[in-house]
Amino acid sequence: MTDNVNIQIKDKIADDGPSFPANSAPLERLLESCHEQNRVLTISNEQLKKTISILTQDNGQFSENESGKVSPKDRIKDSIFITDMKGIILECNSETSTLLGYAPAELKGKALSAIASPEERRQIASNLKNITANEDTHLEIKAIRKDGSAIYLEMLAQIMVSANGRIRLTARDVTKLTRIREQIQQNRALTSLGKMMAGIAHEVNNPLGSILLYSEILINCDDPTQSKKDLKVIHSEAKRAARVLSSLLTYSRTMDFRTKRVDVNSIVRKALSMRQYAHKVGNVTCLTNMPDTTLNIAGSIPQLNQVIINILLNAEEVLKHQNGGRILVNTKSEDGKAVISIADDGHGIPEEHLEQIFYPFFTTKPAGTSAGLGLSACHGIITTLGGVIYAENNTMGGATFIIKLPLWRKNE
Amino acid sequence: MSKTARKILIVDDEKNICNVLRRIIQSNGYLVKAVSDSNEALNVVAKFHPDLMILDIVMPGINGRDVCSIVRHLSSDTKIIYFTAKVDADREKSREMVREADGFIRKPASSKKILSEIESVLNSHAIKMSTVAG
Repeated sequence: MTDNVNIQIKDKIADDGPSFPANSAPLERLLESCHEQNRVLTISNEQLKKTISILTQDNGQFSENESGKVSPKDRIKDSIFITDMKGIILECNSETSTLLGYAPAELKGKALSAIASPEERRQIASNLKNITANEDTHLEIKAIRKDGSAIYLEMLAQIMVSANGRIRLTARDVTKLTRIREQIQQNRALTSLGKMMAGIAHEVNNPLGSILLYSEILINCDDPTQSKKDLKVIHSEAKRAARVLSSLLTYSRTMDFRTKRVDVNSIVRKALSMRQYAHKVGNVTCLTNMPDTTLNIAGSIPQLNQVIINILLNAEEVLKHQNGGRILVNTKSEDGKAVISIADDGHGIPEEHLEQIFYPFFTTKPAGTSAGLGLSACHGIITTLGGVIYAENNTMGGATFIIKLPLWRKNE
Repeated sequence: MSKTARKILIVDDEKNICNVLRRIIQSNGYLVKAVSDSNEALNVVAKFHPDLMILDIVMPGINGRDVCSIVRHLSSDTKIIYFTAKVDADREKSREMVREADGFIRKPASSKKILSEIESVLNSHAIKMSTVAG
């Protein structure tokens, strides 16, 4: 996504009746193309959902003999690694060759993190350190094959019961799924860009409406006192239009996706100000309880902005059905974490859905209206940053979304 | 042919727009009222019985499309022109919006365009059926 948005406001005003004026035709085409892509991708999603459910039916149970060697069933195509507690590969099955291009002998003795892309090595090492006997650990990594090409792997790590100090990892190639998810996310970014442009057009065309009409009156006005008043209106409306475009530029400059020290409070405030007009016309009252100080974490502004906006949009959608309501936003620092909570007084979330809403493709909206990726993308962003995100029902009858992220430490 | 003093009601949450439209339309021989609160607008419709309303769409409280729907029930003689900067992402929804009203003007628009649309709508004899209240 480029960080320049060209908005051309031409002098000619549409005189051709109720149709889109010439200067918004590119916008129209962009929005149409986003809709078409959405339709195509929704169909792909449905097909993928079916594929995933077929793949996950067979969970790959492996038999272990006394020496801890694994004999995979023939029909299971998963790649399996056995490592020590430090992640050094001790055994792997023949599928790993197909997956990674290395012969099993080449992999033995190598650290698991060595097959991952450089930026993920630390994450894998820390994930393996945190593995416990009670829970399976899920990892999603980008691995580099022997020929240098990249693939995305979904891995399940389990401490082996029958062998001491051994971890079994099952790996599955999810490259196609990951690429489609990325495409959908880009598409969502384009669609939100389209909607944002429609919002900007609205915000700029209103002051322009005033400016045009007041200047027409002025041309024919001989009364100096009245003229001065009208000129003042033109002046303030012009400044208003300029502010809208200037805030757009400021927003586009924050499009830096690298992880660095960022202030949660400033990101939350920015997101709230972006929804301010929508709240006004939607009869939504937004109350905040945020300290004046900074609340620093490691993250990227556009990604965290996307998460907050996503949660706000969900709350607004729920409140629309009751013609408005309240959204309460709190931030604080607690136990070494930055905690953000966004609560609404809507109708809440059924207990059985509280966890599922973060799964990809889960949606309660009618078929075809939403791919159901918003919250799963939020989950992905927050967990990649080492945080947690979850939802619970609150005493107002609505739902509260809670995000906890590690506070920024100097040696990150 | 002289214009009879037709009654026009302007509804827009932006006071600047209300003021300037009122002045322009009044100076063209119409009897004009302007309100910036959509709730208040419904009271005024009941008392003023405008021949035509110039209605903004995006407003806090009751939005313009709901006002339109209510007015169709209250007063079947009142014509409605949407005057809006709103662009709908969905083309079909946009067409639906345009069809609801008797006229449509997109902001920004010149006074010439506005006055000509007012005249054209007032002189047309087509009757819009009220939509079912949602």
